[in-house]
Amino acid sequence: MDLREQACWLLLAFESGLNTRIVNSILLLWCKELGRTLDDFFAAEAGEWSATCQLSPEIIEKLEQARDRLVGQIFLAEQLQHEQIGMLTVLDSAYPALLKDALSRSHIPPVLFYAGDLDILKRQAIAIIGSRSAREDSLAFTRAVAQRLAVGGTNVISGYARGVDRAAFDGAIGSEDGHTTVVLPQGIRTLSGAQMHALQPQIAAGRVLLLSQFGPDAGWLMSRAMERNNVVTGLAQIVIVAESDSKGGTWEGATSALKHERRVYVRQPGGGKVPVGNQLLLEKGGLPLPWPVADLDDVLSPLLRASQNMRAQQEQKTEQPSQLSLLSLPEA
Amino acid sequence: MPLGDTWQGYSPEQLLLERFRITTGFHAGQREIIEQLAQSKRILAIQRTGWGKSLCYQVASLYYPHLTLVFSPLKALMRDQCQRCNDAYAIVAAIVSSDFSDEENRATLEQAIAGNLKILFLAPERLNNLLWQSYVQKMRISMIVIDEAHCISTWGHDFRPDYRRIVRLVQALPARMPILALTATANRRVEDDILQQIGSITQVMRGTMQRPNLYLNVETQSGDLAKLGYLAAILPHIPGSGIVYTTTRHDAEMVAAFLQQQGVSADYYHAGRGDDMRQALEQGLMANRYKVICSTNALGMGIDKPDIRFVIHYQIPASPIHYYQEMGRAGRDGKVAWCVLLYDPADLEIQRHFIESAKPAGRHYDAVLALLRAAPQGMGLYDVMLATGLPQTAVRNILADLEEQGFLEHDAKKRQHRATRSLGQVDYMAYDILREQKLQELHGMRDYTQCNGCYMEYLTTYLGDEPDSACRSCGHCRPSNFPGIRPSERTLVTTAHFLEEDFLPRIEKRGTKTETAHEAGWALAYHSKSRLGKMVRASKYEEAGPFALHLVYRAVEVIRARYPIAEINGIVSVPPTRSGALVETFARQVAAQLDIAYLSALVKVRTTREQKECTNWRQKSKNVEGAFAVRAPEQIAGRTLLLIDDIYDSGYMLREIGQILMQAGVLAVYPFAITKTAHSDDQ
Repeated sequence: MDLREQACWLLLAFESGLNTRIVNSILLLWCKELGRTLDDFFAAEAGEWSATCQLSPEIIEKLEQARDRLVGQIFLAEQLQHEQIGMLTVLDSAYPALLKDALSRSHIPPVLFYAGDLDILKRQAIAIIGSRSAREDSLAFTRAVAQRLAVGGTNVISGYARGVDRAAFDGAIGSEDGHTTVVLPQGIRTLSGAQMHALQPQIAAGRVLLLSQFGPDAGWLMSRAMERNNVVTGLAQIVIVAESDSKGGTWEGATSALKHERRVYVRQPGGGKVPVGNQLLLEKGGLPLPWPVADLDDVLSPLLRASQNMRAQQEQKTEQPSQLSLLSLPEA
Repeated sequence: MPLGDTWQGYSPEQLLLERFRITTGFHAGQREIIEQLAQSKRILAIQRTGWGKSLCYQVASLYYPHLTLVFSPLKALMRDQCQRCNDAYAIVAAIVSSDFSDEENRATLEQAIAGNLKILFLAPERLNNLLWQSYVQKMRISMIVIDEAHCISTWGHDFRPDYRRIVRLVQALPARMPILALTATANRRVEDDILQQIGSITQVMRGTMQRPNLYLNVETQSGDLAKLGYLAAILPHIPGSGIVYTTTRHDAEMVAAFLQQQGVSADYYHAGRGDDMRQALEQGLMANRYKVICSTNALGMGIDKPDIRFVIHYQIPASPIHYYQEMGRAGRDGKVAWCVLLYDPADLEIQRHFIESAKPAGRHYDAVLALLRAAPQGMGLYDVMLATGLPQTAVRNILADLEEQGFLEHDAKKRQHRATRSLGQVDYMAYDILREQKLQELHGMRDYTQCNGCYMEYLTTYLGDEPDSACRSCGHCRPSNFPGIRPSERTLVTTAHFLEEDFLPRIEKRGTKTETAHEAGWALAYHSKSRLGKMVRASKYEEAGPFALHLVYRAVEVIRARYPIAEINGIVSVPPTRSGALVETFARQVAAQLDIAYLSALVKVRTTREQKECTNWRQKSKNVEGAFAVRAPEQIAGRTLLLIDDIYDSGYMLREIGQILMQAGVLAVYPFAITKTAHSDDQ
């Protein structure tokens, strides 16, 4: 995708002020259905927008105003290229199908900014989620599980927040040749210099993939942190909950995954106090993952088998030609 | 008229007259460029210096409602243009650059997005600035100008990597956005390269590079005596003010000092003089308060004096393009101006040295990388210099290039360079090519001095003109324009006197902020170029015996005239590297003449190599570290000493000795050397 087309994507997805559902609708109707570029889109007349995408006058107005700012977005796109930050769009073949499957049109990120090797997404993927202020045993659990999974070649997915997320990252990276994907709660350019410096070698070595669905300079917001949880769980075949409360980010992520009939494993500490959320999730359909145990492999192997089966199933999934959705890949 | 509107209804001529108040009309070509820009076209304008390229975009900007962005490589250029827009043409213009604080830049950017600016100047490096990045997304931009567009091309003489980013931007911009690329120095190859990069829809408008009012000539003069004599003879015959360009700062100072002594109103200019001083000199030149300003190539960018009547090059410049630009500052008013190059084949060496340092030979890259690969904990710049013996600039450039290629990483805090895990060999082919190219350009300049035909035609052809006509005014076309004026005997004598007696090489004061090692001092002459230097070498290396008495008498004269003789109550000398008492004998003789006590206070505690065997300052510094000691501190404590050596080179020897003398309780140390080497090896 050339620089100008990238700028048009930035304009539509982040600068226009339109919500995700409308952005995805435009992409569907204009790019997917009609096979046209966004460059064409922004060069077209408002009348054509109305005719092809059925947009309300307010939306048209926003698009007209956005159009004036295309040049600024070209500068931004060039800067991203200069910093070697990649743009993966929902229409790219490399965009993870699992994500499109898991989320609705209102939540599928039209653009994922990334740094690192996208091939990591082709691996078997398991997400680990948990509280920012988790107990020490939950953190130990997370590190041990993440490490074990990573050793086996799994892509461990987490949100890079304090607590469980970071423990998952550390566990995965701590293993020799482990791979991990980090889904940021904010823009990919907002990581500090020190943070980037620490991550660079791992990214360059192909072990860490950074992802962000937000504008490159978008700051942290609670709503964004919650939104990205959908991507964390959406990218994985299986979700493991280390520690949850009965409300909050982890709770929402876990219950949402359950609602979508994903396999959710929940840590079940033997003998000691079970975190409130963990107990509730187990009652709601979460599968128990006992820990501490004598042999972690014993506990994890059914989980891994299940995950492999799911992957196999997904690959065989055929698309319905009549189905107008972002799921199906564009004609070759 | 509010900025958001345009002057669409006005013709360019009307604008020129009413808005710009220029009554002389457009050149052929200016109008065409403005028209094309107003129709959203893309243009590469290759026009000689002083043609009026900037006016094209300044007029064209008024035909558009929003901002015109101008990319420029130099702040001085931007300052000059910005001021002209605001003061002379009432076009609201501003600059974002490192000249301003973050608050000031932010305020400027606010004005830009509010639509209150017509023209905004910036350097391509600014693209990396976070403040810029956030504001540009809100800007509405009508036109983009790329000044000094030859910086895009690696085939040009001034390639700048950041310009590649401008190219990427230009390639992505909508076709309906007008773009103007400007340069005065692009031969055909550079022109083709630029076009290939910024797109073939670009029209080229190339004008002739000829400057009919400039009279060019080359004078072959060897050595400072001949050159200064020539200047003394010729300047009274040239009316008006002008510039003498030198390659080194030292020569700028020397030529200015000489001319002052000859009664010419002159001063020197280079990057080492303070900002205030430089501004004062620029203003003085503009107001014709000086006859001559002697300068390195630091002077010029941003000087737009219409009546510079002569540009004389004291040494051969790096390439015909540099020469064209520098001498091209003369005669902007269209009246006759003189451009003379003083050619001494020995001066080619200085330029060659710069070229070799900038992009050293491939084997040096290999050596540095191998060194760092064998040192996993990393090494600092000075360690690398010590181990390799390469000049500092060369090492710096090598480290930067290796980092760019991904072989090294740099820990800024610890100032260490470390080899990365990246395997493979250094690709110095690009550097070899660059170096070769620069050497070619230097040869091109030498060929200018040797050409038998029209000098102007040589230059303009080099820059891409079709070779068609001789200029009829240069030293070859019309020798009568350059009557042979030779310096008189008397002039030559005073010039020789100046070189040997008046403009003595200085020894700078050395030490740290809190502790002085030694005060400032002098040497009698430069080591390699002078009669005295020859005498020193004869004694030191050719077994000619003790230093000649003439040197002793000269030394005594200079010390009496320039040193605080009343305070000095002891003389010491630097112990020799090998056996021999040349310096001590000399110092004792000087002491006897001055009637001041000679003190044999210094001893060597370990052997050192000859300083001249060490090839960079780091090695020299290391060589003398801890090599000397004070024999009996009570002998010298509380005294003010004169410290004598034969040759002053990097200064590390004297600094080291100065330090230990001061530590032993000496009040002050005044250094003196018989000769000083002309160029410090490396900065």
